[in-house]
Amino acid sequence: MVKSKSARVANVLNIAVISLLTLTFIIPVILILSASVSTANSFAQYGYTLIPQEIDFFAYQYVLFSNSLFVRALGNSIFVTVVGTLMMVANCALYAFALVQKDFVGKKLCSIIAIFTMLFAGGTIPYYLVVTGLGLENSLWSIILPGSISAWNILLMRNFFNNIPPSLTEAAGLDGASHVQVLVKVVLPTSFPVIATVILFTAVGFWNNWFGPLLFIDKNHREIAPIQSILREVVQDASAIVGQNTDLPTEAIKNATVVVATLPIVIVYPVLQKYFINGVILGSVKE
Amino acid sequence: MKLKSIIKTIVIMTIALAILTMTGCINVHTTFEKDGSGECTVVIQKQEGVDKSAIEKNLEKICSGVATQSQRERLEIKSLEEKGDSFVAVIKFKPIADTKGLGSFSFETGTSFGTQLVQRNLFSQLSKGVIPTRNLVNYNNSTFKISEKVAVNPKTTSGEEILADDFKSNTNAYYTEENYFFTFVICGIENVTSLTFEFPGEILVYSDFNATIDGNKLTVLPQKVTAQETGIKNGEPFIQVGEYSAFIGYVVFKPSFDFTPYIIIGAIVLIVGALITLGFTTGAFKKFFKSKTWGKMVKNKVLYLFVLPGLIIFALFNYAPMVGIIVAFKNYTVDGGIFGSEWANNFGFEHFITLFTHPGSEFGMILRNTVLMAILKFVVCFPAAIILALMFNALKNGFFKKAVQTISYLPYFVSWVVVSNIVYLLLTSNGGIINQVIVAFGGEKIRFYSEPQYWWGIITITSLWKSVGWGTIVYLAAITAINPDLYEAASIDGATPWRQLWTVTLPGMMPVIGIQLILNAGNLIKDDFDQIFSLVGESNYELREVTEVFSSLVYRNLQGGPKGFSSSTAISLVQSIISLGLVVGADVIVRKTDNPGLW
Repeated sequence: MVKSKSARVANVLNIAVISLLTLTFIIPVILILSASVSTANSFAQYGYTLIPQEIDFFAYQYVLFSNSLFVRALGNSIFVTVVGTLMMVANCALYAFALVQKDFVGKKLCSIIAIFTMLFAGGTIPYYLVVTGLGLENSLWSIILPGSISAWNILLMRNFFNNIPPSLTEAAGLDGASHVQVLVKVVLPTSFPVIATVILFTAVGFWNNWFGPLLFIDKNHREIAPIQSILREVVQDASAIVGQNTDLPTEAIKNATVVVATLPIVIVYPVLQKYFINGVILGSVKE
Repeated sequence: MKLKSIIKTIVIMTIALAILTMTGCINVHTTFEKDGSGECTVVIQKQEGVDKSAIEKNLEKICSGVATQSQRERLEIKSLEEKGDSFVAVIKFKPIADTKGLGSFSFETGTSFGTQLVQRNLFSQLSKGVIPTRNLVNYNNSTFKISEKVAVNPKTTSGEEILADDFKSNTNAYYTEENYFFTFVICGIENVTSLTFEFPGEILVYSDFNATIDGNKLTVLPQKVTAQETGIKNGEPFIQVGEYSAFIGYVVFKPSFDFTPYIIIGAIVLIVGALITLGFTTGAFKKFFKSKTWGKMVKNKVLYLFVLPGLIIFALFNYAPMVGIIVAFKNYTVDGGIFGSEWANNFGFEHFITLFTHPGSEFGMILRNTVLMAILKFVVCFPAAIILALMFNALKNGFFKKAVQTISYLPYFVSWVVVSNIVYLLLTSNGGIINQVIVAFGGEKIRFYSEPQYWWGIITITSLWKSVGWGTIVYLAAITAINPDLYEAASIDGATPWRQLWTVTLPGMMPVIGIQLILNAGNLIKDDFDQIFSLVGESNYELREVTEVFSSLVYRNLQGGPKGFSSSTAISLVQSIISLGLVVGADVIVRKTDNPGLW
């Protein structure tokens, strides 16, 4: 195809604009990295800069080694994310599998029960009353349990299961396999794309969740707070976490915390990119 | 004090005493529940010239006097009847330890009593005749200070004396969770000839002063003591020392086992058992168990286990809160909980009415902020994602295309807290990048965090930044799904690539655009609290006129404690209903354009 001159110009313009846009995504990352290794002095003198003027890795040393709060928070976040994601995948896969079976009496009812939760919610305060009523305040389970199922994910998985060639499942059924065996041996292995999608979305959701801890974990129980909670406090009022000691480079510590809190996600998502794109498509485009 | 006012006071006091005397002798019998609430039966002997309405007025005066002292409705007159030669009034009261205006009470578990120094010293003080009168405020607004020494010693029900000082140690055997401690000092309520307290359990220890016990009842007789009364009558303060009736004492009791829930369960089991037997005898069960449906259910019983965890979690965290919505129609208090709190005025709609019409209500501002922000975001971000998708589509396949797409997804995965940090380091007046640039060009620093007008833009732009890359995914998928033959046909017809865009690409994306529109419609009334709270913080007063949205109000009410729970729930409910309506409405509109809807 021979491109006309105007087409070539349009192409160059396109690339230019996209490049500019991409810069807006990259520059903040550089700014944060730079700030996390700058000394307090350079902030006072130069403010935020793209290239750090005076380099000092003290902030990372503080966050990773000196103040155990951060590492513990990371541990809490890992716990919440791993347990929560496992529960989510298990709960949704089981529920969706049941919804797909022809002979499941009550399928429609279970379907409605799930879908209605997407349309209407009780509100923050009734939710708060229920969770505290169950005695879950100041416990990580107040974050894990409510987030361990999602109607959206159930529907996602159901649509995917419906598209598995029936010949596969029927063959297993003829061999005398029980539901559990069909699920574990046939359905799950072929559902890797949708499971990967759910894992990624759920894990990111748990990892970034700060509102739950805000509601249910009070300041006296910081040792069980997840990292986003600590991050939020550090960003909004560093003195609450690092103390009133003004010798510490709070700006650098803030940004180092950001890096530490976000690094896992930044590493993981490009790897799973193929899968979550599929997942979004599955969820939004009707066949 | 002036002579005239002294005479006036004495005259009024005499009349008041006379009226009270006219009501004759009064016996009070109080029955307690385990939480310190209970019922009081007052038997008032008939006297000349005193009729039922006079007694009713007096009782109401007492109830309202207590209500002002205790800051809550604590007493409720259940009934007032004539019975033979007396009037019998039944009064319900809420936990007595919180009831001020009748005396000083404490009603708490042994462990709780034992952890408080003041309470622990109480018994030993009383045994030495030192009577704590700190909270002795009457329903008449007078304060009493008993000047007489009245020794009150503890005794077990078998008649042994216990050393009062033993109670000073917090390891005393009585300070357990099963025991309850009830202490009372009542002064200034005249004409009561006897006071009986009935407890939901056996009495272990009681005060031996003017008191007798009978099973789980303690009867106390009044003691005339010298006391000083301070108060205000007819707008004038007065102090008076005189003889008043006082009831002083305490009880340690152990509640007996509550059989009620077991009786109820037993009754249910009996009824269900009867129904099942009925079912068997009429053969109704046989028919069901032979049916195909039952066969299917049995064969697939493991499936019920599959959905069980999901159903439990939905029930607990999605549906149970829906029941909690009735809080919006009540005046929620911690005492009452969800079901015990009283209904709000105006058939329960009080909070909704206040929300819309109250002059100080910021409903208008909040609505404007929420909707305007949502519209701004929608108008900017919705097309932007489509445009960017088209731009990505125009790139040649290769490393550059893949790289920029991957990078564009990054903002979506990062939390708003991180974004708030980025915004901070751009906008802060302490060396933020933007301000540095402004100053370098000779301008003046802008204090972004104090100027609300910039935030319409800031919030929209950050939303755009965070969501645009992600938004392209769906549209790119739709574009690649378009049949390439359509493009060929168009270019054969002489259409330029630009024209093809309008005639082939965009129409082909319409179904997806339609669904995205519906999904986003419900968000018109919702706000992204995640974003606002992270960017603006918990309490930035200057920016409120732009950044205060529905969720901010809900959050603020949540922080303010239980008294704001009802109005906050009302706000959430209004929001949810409007959102649902918008989704349904958008679905209808999109369907009318021959595009598929949501269901």
